[in-house]
Amino acid sequence: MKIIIKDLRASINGQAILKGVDLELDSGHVHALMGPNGSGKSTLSNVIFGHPAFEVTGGEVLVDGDNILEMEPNERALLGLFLAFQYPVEVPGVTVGRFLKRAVDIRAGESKTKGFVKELREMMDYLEIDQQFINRYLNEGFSGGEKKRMEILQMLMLKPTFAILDETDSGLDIDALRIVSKGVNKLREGNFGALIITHYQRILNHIRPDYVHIMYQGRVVTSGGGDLVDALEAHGYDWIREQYGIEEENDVQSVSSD
Amino acid sequence: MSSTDVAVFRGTDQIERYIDSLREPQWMLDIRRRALKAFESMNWPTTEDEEWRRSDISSYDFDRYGYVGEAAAAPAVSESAAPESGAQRSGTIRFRGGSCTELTLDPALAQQGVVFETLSALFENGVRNNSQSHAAAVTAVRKLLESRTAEFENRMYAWHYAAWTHGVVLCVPRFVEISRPFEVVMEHEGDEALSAPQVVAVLDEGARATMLYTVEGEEKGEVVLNEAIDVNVADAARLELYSHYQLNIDSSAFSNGRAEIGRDGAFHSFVASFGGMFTKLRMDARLNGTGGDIDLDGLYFASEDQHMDLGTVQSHNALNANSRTFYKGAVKDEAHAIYQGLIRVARNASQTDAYLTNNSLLLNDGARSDSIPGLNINTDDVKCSHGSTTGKIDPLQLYYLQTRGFSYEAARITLVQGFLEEVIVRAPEPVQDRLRELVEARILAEYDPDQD
Repeated sequence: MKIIIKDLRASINGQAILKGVDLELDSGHVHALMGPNGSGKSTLSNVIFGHPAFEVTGGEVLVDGDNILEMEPNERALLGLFLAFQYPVEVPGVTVGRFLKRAVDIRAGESKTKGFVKELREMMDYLEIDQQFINRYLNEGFSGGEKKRMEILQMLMLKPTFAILDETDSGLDIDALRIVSKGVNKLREGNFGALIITHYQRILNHIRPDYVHIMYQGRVVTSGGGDLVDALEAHGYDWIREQYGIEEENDVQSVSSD
Repeated sequence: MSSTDVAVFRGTDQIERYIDSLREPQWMLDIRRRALKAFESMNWPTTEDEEWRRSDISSYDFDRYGYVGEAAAAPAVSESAAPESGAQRSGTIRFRGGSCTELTLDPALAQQGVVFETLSALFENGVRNNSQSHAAAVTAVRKLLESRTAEFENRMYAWHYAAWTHGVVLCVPRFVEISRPFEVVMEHEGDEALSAPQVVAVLDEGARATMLYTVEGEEKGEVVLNEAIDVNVADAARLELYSHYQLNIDSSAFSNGRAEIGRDGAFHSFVASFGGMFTKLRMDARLNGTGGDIDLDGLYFASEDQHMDLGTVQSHNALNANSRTFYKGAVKDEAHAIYQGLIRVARNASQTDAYLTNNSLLLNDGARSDSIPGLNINTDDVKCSHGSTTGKIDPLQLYYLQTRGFSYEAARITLVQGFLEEVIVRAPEPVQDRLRELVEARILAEYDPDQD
């Protein structure tokens, strides 16, 4: 799968967040997207999926040549895209088991009972999730770490071709981070690509990215190999700003969704 | 099919003639005549009455309706037949219109003194046979109905007790515990038909039973249902009563439920309301003994231009009793749902623990929901609370499911089912899946307001 983002512009409540994002992603590689708070990283992931709060004001997102911006979020998912939410949504009254069965059936285009429960149990074991979670309502009353692990469980069950992980590492202790990374690395064995959105380098010690992209003030300002992470870690985001001659914009505020 | 509609009596001025035509014990006829007197002295409830404020019945002409009676051609079901082996029920009574078409009772239970009968059969058997359990049942029914009809809250109730058309009774003797449910199905039919069933359940000390009661109808034909459900749960007894309402969109249902609960007794009512153009269902449960327990659950789904008015009363008249009401529903199209709930705590009812919750989900603009919880507390040392919410489907939840591949419609169904699941799981196990399916079908049903 090849994802080409061209001059993507989007706003929320009339405020421009994405100001012309250009980015190329593909399955077969893990990409990291880094940048300071408010740079538009989370907005980018939600615009790729069609979050109703954001308005696309220009540009396109091509998946294997087709612009997906007019598609419903579920149509985008059925192309093989997956989004691990920064803040997974609680869905009361819908058990994890029932939800995943339905989601897997939709993905497969048919109802397959055979092997589902077995695979679910194996994946839960792999991610060190207690089996009792099958009968709990999705994300309701889960701790932050449990919610993030549940996102990874969904990813393993749905087997996307390309996954976007939106700050999955934030708020995770080292143990949870290890488990989440294990989940991503498991898929990496096949035809799979990912965009790891993060503020910190920590998760990238567990999931070594093939490419790193730096976002600043609504644009991707530079891309490079995995070694860019180390440079960023050593010099900080100010170094990026100076390096690429970005001036402080007074009108840019930190956006809460990022 | 309205061939069994054999209404001889039509119009409220015919009630006296109707009563005169009945073969019932004198005390029952006395109740009817007393109710008729009250009926004649009262006016129909109006929107001036608080309980009827949002349910206007002034457009009804109740004289139009003919009373359903027992059809001459109905199969005779004089003797109880045993249910088929392996049956999931302890017994089944089925009515079509005013006629009983099926009656079964596990013989082992009959042997233990359980009475599960139509009211007309009870009155005949109780008088004719020398059956002790039937005689005891008659006494119990008499005691309950006489106390119930000591006064009439409104003309609708008085009308019912004067003119009730057919009924069932379940009496469970002391310390008989029955796990398999009793099923009662009332299929209403005819057009411009008044159906006024009387349901009686009496559980003696320490008895336990479950009743599944279904009110349904044919696809066409206007039926007005004016039913009463009278329950007595004696000390340490427990009754679970599931009532399901699914009349057609031309019909109306008025239901007046009343339960008296003794010391350490427990009553669990689950009301599922799906059908009818105009529905007013009330369940009034009274804790009369120390340590009693009430659970009143409700699930409603109003769509098209349905009007559904559901009410509960939790009355605490004794120490240390608990009650809990939980009504949850979805409202779609141009429907209007109303919930009125009252917690009443008498002066002597210390250490009461009572709460009520009502949550409505509006599925589109144009759907309406009113929630009116009330507290009437006359003592200190109580724990009472109520909460009600009316909300819409959360767009973030919708988006979340869509990113997992759920279509917009599939996501909506899942979310509404999830919203209602919390109350569905409180229904008796055998009906839960049916409720989930009904909810899904309702969400998918399209509504054309210009259709009529």
